[in-house]
Amino acid sequence: MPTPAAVVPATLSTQAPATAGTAATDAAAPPPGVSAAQWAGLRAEMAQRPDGTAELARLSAYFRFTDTAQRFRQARQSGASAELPALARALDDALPERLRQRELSAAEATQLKTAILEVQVADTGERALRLQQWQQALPGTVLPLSTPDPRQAEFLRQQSAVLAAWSAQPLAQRDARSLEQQLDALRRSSFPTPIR
Amino acid sequence: MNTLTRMLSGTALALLAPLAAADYFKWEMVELPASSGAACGNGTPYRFFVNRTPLSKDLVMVYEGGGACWDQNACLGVGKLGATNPDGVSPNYMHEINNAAFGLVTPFSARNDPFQAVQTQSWNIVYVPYCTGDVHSGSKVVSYADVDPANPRLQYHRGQANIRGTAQWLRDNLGRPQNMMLTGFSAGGVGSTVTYDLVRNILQPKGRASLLADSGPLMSAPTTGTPDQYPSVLMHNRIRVAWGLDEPGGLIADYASGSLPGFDPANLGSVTGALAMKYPADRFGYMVFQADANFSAFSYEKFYPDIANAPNQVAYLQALYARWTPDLAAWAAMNQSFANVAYHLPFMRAVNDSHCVTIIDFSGTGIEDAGVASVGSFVDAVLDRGPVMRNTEVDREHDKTQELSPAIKLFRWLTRIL
Repeated sequence: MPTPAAVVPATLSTQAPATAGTAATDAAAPPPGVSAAQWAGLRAEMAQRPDGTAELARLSAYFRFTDTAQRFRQARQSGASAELPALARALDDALPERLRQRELSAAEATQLKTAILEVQVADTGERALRLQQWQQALPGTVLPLSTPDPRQAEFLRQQSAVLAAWSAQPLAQRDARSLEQQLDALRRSSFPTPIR
Repeated sequence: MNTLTRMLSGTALALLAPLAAADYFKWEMVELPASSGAACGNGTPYRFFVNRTPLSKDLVMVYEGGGACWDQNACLGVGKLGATNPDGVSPNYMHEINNAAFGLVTPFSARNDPFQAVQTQSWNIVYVPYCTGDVHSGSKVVSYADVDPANPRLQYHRGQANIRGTAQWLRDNLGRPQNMMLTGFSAGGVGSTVTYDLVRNILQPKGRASLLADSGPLMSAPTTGTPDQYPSVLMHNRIRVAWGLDEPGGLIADYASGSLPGFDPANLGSVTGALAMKYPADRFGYMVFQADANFSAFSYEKFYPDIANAPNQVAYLQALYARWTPDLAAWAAMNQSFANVAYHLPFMRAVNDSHCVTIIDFSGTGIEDAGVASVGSFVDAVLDRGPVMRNTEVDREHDKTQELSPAIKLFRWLTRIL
């Protein structure tokens, strides 16, 4: 079974990390870090899906990205500074697509970008500024803009009305359990089906 | 063993079938139905996030932290002792920058963390956001009007329903995991502890089950004890009422009904020992800094006037630690009774008020006088059934000048400017 060390030459060329996060050209060959048996299983599974070819390409790209990220972490921790710039560049190039694919959370991407900038930018203040600029540029580009749940505003309006009516009752008549039941009924009607 | 090697060590073909419809390695949003009772604090739907892998049947649940509340302002997220996500959790939560800890969070929720490898990065990962102000444990809806009676805050302390619904969805859609770990930081540390029994019962892991609770120690505090004896008792007594823990359907009522033998309903802190006794083959690991000035603030500040009204920071910390230090010592002593309970108590880390051992990365978490370089070996010992480590740092000086990682330094920079 191949290990990361086995699938990546000990002497890293700039070509190896430059492919991080891009689709494999040969779908039959397992991407780094995946055994032939695992890859065959995934291919068989994806063959059952209408989007299987694209999904397999995405997975292949993701495995390459993960492999590069792991080599980057290992190089960083071992102080292998000669390899770091190329690995950092490869990760940086691949980051937008991996974010677009929703494979990385914003937090994980921020961690990666922080580590990349640590290699690429010497000055701490400049590094922090660059990170902030990068974060600010994400929404609406590689990350979707957050749009409010359309059901939410109306729910909150009705909820306020329920609470106001309950609070208007004399103190002795305010039954917390009854309020909770009304609110649950409102929640069920406002959010009848979970969104996906 | 590194992450990728662990990924390779599974028998992949056998593992592929149950997850056939999944989009692997993507963060999948799951919204729990309103009929389940699950809700965020403001009544909006509760959502959690799943990142599946076809290469493992192991599962880790990461409970998010972020304060707690039992009054109007704190439930609105106002002030340093406010609760997080008062406006709920958006469907796009995992892809928004400014979630917990400015998006730096924890190595347990990132597969490709460049700073810190942990073995669960190759597992199925579930991120459990926190939006109820009740350390994921409550069962009550409360109208808080103590600050602005004309505009009360309606707070759904529905943490228990959220966790129950999450666990059930995971069981229905991912099946029984091989190995299971619950982890969480701060309020998530408490939440992962108090709902461990509930989740374990639903998921029924086939292999090992472990808990790694970060910076959420459940102090011993009998309801009838005095604050001098049990400094956390005032807070415990307050939250039991505010979050409906003793009411029908509440966590304490549930555990007291016999589901958690060994649990003393008059002492929340007995959960730790009760879990250890009920699951002798499981491993329970707790971590907390001895100088944690955040969890201690939540535990005491609103209940002790000498803390709340301290004239300066020195007096404040003195009053705080006068409760925290003996409370923590008693907690550690209590846990020594159980063969499967481990703890790691480094002195301090100069970030986030020494609160949370596992956030960002593990730099500055060692206990050098015990020969432990970082909390990483503690984490591995819990997961791999290594020695039951009970590490308490004695040295008070080393941590004050220790070099921290670039990631930690960046976090400090961000907290200064934002």
